[in-house]
Amino acid sequence: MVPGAVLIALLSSLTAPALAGQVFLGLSAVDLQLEIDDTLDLGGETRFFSSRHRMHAGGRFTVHLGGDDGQTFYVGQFLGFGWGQSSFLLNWETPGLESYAPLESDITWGYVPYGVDLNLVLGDVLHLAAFVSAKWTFQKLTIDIDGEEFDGRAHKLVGSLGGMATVNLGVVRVSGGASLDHYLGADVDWEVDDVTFASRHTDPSVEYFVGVVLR
Amino acid sequence: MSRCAISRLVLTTIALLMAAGCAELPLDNAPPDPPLLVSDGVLEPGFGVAVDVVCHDPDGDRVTIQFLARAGAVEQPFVWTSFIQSDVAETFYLPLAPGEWVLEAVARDELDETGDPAAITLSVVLD
Repeated sequence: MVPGAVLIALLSSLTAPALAGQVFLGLSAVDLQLEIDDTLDLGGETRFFSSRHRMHAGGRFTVHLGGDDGQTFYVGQFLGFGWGQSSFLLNWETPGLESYAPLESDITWGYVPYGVDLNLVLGDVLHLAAFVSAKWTFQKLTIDIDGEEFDGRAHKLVGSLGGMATVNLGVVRVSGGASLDHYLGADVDWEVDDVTFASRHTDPSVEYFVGVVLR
Repeated sequence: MSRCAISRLVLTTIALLMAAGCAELPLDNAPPDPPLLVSDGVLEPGFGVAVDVVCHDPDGDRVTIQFLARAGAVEQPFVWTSFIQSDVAETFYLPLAPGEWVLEAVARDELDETGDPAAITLSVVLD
């Protein structure tokens, strides 16, 4: 997490003085993502599955483009990156026969979103936006088995549909929003050493974010 | 302090807070109730003694059961069963020799919480 935060601080100090009207930065202090379907299946007789839904906590940093000062309605675009981490228990069993003690696991993820937004600016107070975006997502899965760590990696393309509202509080503009993420392609392969995990994502995930906007 | 400077200060502060963040989110979870055990103690050759088990988990989690059979000083432990649904009866066959046994069972849910044990007395007889 540290390199991302340092990069944000660096970017903010470098770019903030030059920002005006048509370009602004968005930084989410809270970025939560709830993954609804997170079953992991291992080929063979053993089945792996996480307990309950996973919730990722992290942050996101975006640059927004488009619109002129005083423009009420405009179509813009944004790009950026996000990151986060979740920890969970990974259960495993041989169905019908035996279960084993759960394994400590975690997923570290990062993503690069690019999207188009439909913006409505109401005075200098409220800014509403609906957006559609595509995210290239990288995830690293770590499983601790008896003190030995096993890593897996996956790349996914995710389509998102969401909305964002920004309120100008004078000193700072606070933004918040939510999106519905759809994994494009239900199956995701995890390469864990010589073993392949197939991860199904058949349901959408929900992502919430709250942060500040710098103009 | 200018608005821009304040905004940069807020941004930097949040960035530093995030550097220490991303912690694991807590999940409330209740352990499963003691399982209910029912068996007639009849030993079916090639199968064992059928034991019906129903277990309620307050969160609706699936549970796994571990049996432990005692006959005097003799203890016969069993491995954790595969997961079963909460509130749904399942039958397990335990290889027990004829005789008087105290059969204990404990349930564990998917979040690794273990409940209190339950026990019944079994008179195992050949079918």
